[in-house]
Amino acid sequence: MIKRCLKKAALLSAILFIACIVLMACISYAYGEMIEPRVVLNVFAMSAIIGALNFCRFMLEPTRWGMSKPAVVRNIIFFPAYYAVALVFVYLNVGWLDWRFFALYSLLFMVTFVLAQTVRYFIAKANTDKMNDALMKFNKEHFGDEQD
Amino acid sequence: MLPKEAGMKLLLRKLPDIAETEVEIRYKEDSSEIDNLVKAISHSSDALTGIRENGDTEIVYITDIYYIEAVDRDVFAYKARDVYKIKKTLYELEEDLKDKYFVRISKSTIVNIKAVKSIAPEDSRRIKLLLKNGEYIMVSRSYVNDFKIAIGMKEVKR
Repeated sequence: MIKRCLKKAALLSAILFIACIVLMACISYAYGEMIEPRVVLNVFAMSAIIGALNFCRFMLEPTRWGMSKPAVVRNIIFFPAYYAVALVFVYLNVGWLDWRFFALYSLLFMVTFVLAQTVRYFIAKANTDKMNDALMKFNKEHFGDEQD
Repeated sequence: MLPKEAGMKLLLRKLPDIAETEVEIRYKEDSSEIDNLVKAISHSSDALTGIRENGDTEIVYITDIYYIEAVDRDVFAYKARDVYKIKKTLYELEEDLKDKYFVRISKSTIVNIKAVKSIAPEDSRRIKLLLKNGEYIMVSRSYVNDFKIAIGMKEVKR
């Protein structure tokens, strides 16, 4: 399982790294500025940290605790960490941050994120509730009193 | 009846006190004859031949299996608590168990619908199944429709 999680996390990190480099290359081309080697190293470090977070997330997913909780709980636990890594990355590359603006932005992001996750969960739950009804009906029809 | 040429003694003992029928085959060495005998017994009772971790061979009744999973090149059948290695491919088992309320839920797993207690949502349009032994297993996004069809929630598209 460790191998599988490691592979999945490494693949996602590689995609993130390539996507960031391509995006920065596009920005650099548009503004006519060179990308500093330091920035590339920062992107690499960020991809590696996000890879480590993904690895922990994938490892947690199949555990008894992870499986017994809705995915929204795992997302709410991990997404602030992803957000913090991205924030540090922006700070390291831009060099300054208006902390009041970022605090407000972070709060807005978290509230929107939690709301969106909750709404998504309830929509998915409504669908699985229908499936549970269908399963109950199926069990009654095919197995009758055998069910415990 | 066993063929005479097999050179085997057939002993049948009726024991009203035992919980389930037991079959013990005593043999000197492995042979195709023994393999055929095991297969015949397995086929006679909707069961599979399962190998325990310690190497013991047991008859595993299909109705007792919760799910079957392929791990690397091996296939394992999971009962409420026990695990057995099965000497068949997942594809063969899927074909054999199609009419016995088993359904494929991922590239590597087939589940017994009878063992499913409830269904819960997961991310990425997947769903997870809570089995009667408290274990959870995941239904891949591409197999959710097959599961819905299996429980009669959706019609098969022609």
